[in-house]
Amino acid sequence: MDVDLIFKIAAIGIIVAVLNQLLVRSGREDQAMMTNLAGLIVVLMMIIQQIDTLFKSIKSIFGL
Amino acid sequence: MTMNIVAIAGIAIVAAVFAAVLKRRNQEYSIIISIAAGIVILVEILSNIAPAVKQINTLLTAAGLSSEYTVILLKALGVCVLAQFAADSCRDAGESALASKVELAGKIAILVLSLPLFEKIAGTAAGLIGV
Repeated sequence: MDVDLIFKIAAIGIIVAVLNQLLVRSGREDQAMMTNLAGLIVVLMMIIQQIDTLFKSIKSIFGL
Repeated sequence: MTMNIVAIAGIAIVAAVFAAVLKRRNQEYSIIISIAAGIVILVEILSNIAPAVKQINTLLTAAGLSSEYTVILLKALGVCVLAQFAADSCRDAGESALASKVELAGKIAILVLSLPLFEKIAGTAAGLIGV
């Protein structure tokens, strides 16, 4: 079971929040938004693979 | 093989805490964490349910039931699981309109799946009446 996935996502979220705060405080709003977007895309790529495995296993078990 | 309920409860609680921590700063991550935890728990459930499905299949075949009924039953169950998962994720993300559409789609998919059974029941009833 891949519990690490949840920890990874939470860690990325916290790091992105800190970076976002740092960049906003130093007056670089555009870079802060880019960082936010990049973190979100990374997390989405991670979760899309898991969704793929979930759907594949549902398809194979229930014969959809 | 027993289902690892302790691990599932732990995953759920840890994910809930993480989601609550991240809810204030960036809400999208809390939604993604809850979806990820849901996927992990569902995969665990499915890995446990696979042998049970096989056993139910053999039981129903031994009972003399035609295999097409079992296939329809399992397909309906799969549609239910998928639609419920998608609808819950949408509702967590605050999109209750999308969630209700997904639920409607699931209901209609199950209706379409089970229409041949209705047809067969109607045919049996007509045969009994002697029309």
